[in-house]
Amino acid sequence: MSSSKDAYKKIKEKHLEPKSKYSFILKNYLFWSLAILAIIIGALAIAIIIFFLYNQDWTLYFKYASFIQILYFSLPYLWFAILLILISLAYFNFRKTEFGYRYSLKKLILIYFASSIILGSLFYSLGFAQVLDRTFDQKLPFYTNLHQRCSWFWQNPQEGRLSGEIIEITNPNQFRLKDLKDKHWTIYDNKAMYRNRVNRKTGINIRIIGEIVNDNEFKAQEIKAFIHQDMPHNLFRNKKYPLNERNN
Amino acid sequence: MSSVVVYKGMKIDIQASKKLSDQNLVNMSLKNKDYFLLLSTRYEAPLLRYIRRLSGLNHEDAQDVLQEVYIKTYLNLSSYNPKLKFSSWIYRITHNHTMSELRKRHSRPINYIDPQDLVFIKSNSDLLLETDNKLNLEEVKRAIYSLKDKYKEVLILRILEEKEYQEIADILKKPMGTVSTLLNRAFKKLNEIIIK
Repeated sequence: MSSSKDAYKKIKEKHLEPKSKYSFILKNYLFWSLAILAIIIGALAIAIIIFFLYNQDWTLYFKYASFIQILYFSLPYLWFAILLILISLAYFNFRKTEFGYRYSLKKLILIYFASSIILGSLFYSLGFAQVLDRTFDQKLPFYTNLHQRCSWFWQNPQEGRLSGEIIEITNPNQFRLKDLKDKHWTIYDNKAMYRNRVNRKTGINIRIIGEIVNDNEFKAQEIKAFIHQDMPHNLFRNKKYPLNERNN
Repeated sequence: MSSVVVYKGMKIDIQASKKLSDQNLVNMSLKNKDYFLLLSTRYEAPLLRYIRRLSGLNHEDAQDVLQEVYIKTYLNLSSYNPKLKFSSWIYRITHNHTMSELRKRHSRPINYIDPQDLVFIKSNSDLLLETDNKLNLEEVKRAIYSLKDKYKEVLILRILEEKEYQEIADILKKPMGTVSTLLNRAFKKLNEIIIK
């Protein structure tokens, strides 16, 4: 007997029926959804990478730090790693869709990056990256936020660089600052130049270039906001990062 | 020779069924499993030959594998998408099932080319050799089977099964560019072996 007849006989005897087409459709949609989810999360990772890269002081880094220091401290490796995992997930899931195998790895990675970068730039411009960075910092103990990541450079008062949060406006010529190691400083800013439309009020994070006076006093020459404010990410703007000029 | 197959009282006219497209038979099989016999009969000879070419299994073992392929095909019939050629789809199932069967048996494919294959090779010799050497078919046969599985698979599909690049890509679930590269390398390696 031929194989086709043997198979037909078994199908009849065991009352076999084709599996429901919906189970296949569902499986296909599941892989599509996972691939799209990986693109969306990848776009958020890219938004945070843009946020980190855009808010670094590259000119100052290259002036005062070594290339190894810059490479080691300023790049968001965690997010690069997450992005790599997401690319693999998107690739794996897309390849599992019905005709996903027709696309080469090169083409899929290109499509992934193009869509993630476009979407990521949109997320960044809407302010998602800033919100996520802050949320992760609050919720995940191992997470290093932008401020902490910049501390290697900005927590160096001896070399004239200090950063932290304004905790009290003492008078028009000075304010109190809590640095990234929670140490309190008196900052003299009567001759300081304010950049990035930074707002001189409590609760905001700033970067200061100047010179140390003594163990807890610092004379500011230049004050900048910690987050660059000239991108249109206003949607999630909160009191911590206002756009007003010095209002004191 | 009669083209009518009788099975359990059901008369199947193989000649008449030839007028129906694969897609028609798939749709009819989903409603009535008897039509699946027509569909499977249509692919009996080529698939059996393909299993033997791929695995080197003897006729009986290859028939057993094919029977399992048919059952698998029937169970998954509603997942068939007409955007794909039915032949590519059933070849894909056959390929995957044969390879998994070989893995289960812990055996490597054995050299197998039936006499008809030599005719195929001869007719495709312009694809095979860019040298002036006189083509020795036995050598070509041996050379194909001495290649790595990934090269052998594409060569069998291209030369012996006479599949187009897109069909090979659909059967092996690889991008067409990859298939093209594999074929180029396979032909190159084949030439190197034969020239040696």
